[in-house]
Amino acid sequence: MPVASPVATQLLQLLGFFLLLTAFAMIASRHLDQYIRAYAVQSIALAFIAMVIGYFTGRVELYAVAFFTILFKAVMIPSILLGLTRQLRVHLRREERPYVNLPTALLIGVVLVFVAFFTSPSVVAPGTFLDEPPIAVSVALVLIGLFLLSARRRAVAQVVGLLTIENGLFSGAIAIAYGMPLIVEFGILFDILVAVLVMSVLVTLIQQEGLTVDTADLRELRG
Amino acid sequence: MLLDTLLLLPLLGALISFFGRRAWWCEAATLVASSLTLVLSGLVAHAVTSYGHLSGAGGWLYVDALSALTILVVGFVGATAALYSIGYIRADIRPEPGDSEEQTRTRFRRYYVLFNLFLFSMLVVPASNSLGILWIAIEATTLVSLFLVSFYGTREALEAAWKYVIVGSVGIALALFGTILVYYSAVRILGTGYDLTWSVLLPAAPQLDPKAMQLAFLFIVVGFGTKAGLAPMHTWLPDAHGEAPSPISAMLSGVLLNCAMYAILRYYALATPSLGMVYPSTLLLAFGLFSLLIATLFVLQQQDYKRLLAYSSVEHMGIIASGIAFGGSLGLYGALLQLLNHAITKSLMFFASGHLLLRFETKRIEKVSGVIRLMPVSGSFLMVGALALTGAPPFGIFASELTILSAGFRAGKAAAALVVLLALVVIFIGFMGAINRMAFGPPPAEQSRGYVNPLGLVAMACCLVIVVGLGLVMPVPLRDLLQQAAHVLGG
Repeated sequence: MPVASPVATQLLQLLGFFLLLTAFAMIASRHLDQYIRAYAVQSIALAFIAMVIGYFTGRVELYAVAFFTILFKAVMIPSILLGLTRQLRVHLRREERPYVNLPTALLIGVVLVFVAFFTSPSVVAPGTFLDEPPIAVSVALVLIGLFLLSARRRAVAQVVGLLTIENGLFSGAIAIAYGMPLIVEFGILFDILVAVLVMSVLVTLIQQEGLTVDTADLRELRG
Repeated sequence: MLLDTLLLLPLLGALISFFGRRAWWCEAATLVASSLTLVLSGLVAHAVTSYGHLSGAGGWLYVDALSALTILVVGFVGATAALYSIGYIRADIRPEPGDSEEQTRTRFRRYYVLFNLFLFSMLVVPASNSLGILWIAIEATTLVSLFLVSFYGTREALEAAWKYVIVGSVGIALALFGTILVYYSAVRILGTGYDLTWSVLLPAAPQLDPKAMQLAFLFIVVGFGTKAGLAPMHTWLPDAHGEAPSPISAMLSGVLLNCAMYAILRYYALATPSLGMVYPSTLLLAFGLFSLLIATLFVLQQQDYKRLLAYSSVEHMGIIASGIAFGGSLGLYGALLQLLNHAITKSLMFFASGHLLLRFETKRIEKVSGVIRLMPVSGSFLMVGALALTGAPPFGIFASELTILSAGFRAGKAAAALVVLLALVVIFIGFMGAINRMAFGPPPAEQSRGYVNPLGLVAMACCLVIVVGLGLVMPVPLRDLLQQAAHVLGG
């Protein structure tokens, strides 16, 4: 079992910090374009986490995970979503009548990070690579993703919120269980790509039906 | 070999439907594929009761009694829904003015391709050996059924589909984290990079790290519970069930919920050896009772009969979760029997609701009346199905609910069992009140077009035979299968 080195821990803390930074960039962004790009940058940071852990544990397959993370999450999914927003002509439009204004949203983000750091369980069993996996960062990312999912009106923005949750989970997965069988990780990546494709078809259908892609309009079904 | 063929059949059905040049090709391919699936699932169940378990596809597939039971339910509901779909979809996809024949045919083909793929993804869930594949298959069920939910393309249908995919995806993401924690809980004893499969993990279950497993099971119940329709994660369910075409509602309620419940049961069997019974049972009981509470409240004030059936699904998932929580061989047996009974009875009800919908062209309860006089055959199916669903004797659900309740009293959880009983009584009154209003009374003055679906009536009759039959006699092979499945869960 490889020993945790201080360099690895510091690198991972730095990357974890970077993940949180991109999450805040998403909270702060008003244009869908910026928002999706922040997600792409976040995915690159995630790929670097996989690479660092791969390097220090000597697990070559994590490089493959990093490669496919960049290919799927930093290139393909953002370009699908950017293409979709262009097609719907919403990419430069500001979020109208936001549920939560910007300062409040940033404040909520900070609170969520604190919640994550205070409540994150230590599930570390002896014999793992890191003494303290950055699980709090993952939990914070999941909470911020849930917040984005519920605070954003646009359907495309909600999809990105969902993807942020998933990035948080994936980072946690790599940190605490870096040896997940490869086929499972690829399956999951592929699955997310398909999910994004399917959701973008649905968004287009919603648009064609003459509905706006503002989910505040989707309030017919109750009880 | 048997398992591989079982999974190939719906794929073939999808392929033929995709390339089918005529409508009846799609129908015939789907019907033949799903009927053969039913036959094979019966064979699988038989083989499992005799030999313990089956594996296939080079170790990727693993089927024991619990999986075989789920496969049997998928097979039965799939075959009856395929039979019912023929008449229903023909009547439902009428060429709209302005639509070319080509467009109509495309919609037709899309329905059957998705139907087969949906069936395939739901067969992979119980047949998979890998925990990762199980997760992927459950996510795939959402992605495939999404376009079946939004099939009509109306505003409400698109809204339902959107809610379904977002809520479902959040749930499934949480379940992914649970899966990862389960992997992690065994790293200490199996080393890193082991095969994440049931056949590897189950023998190691007593030595799993309890702390990680505790957190994992919570994520699994919340995550897969979202797709199983446990409250408070059930919010997508009434919309999706209400807006989907009726045969698809039957598949969603009768099979999809069971597939998600199957995943929870699998993890339950994995968690109890290291965690003990108390924690998993308490968790399931809490979600079960809350689902019953929510279902009771919404059944009482429901205006839409398809949503009424949807909330009844929330109720039954709550009862199944409570049955598992009561535990013991009796509780587990009762819960599994309830799962089987509910799937078949609920399909019958959704088929009947499809007849109502095409005849009255409304889902509002107060606009439907005189069903028995207008449609004597399907009207009486509706009445009998409703009585069976609410737990009236002598039908199957009565027997399984009685088993679950007595398991509750025997396990010393009398208070919880009384709550279940109370919810059942209130739901019976509310549900039958709504059904009676639709079944009797004078038929509405303006008559809409007639609608006949003889094959649909055959499908409903098949369900009815089982619903009535299981209340009267319990066939020995089925009892063996249920007992072995309960044994897998530790009963």
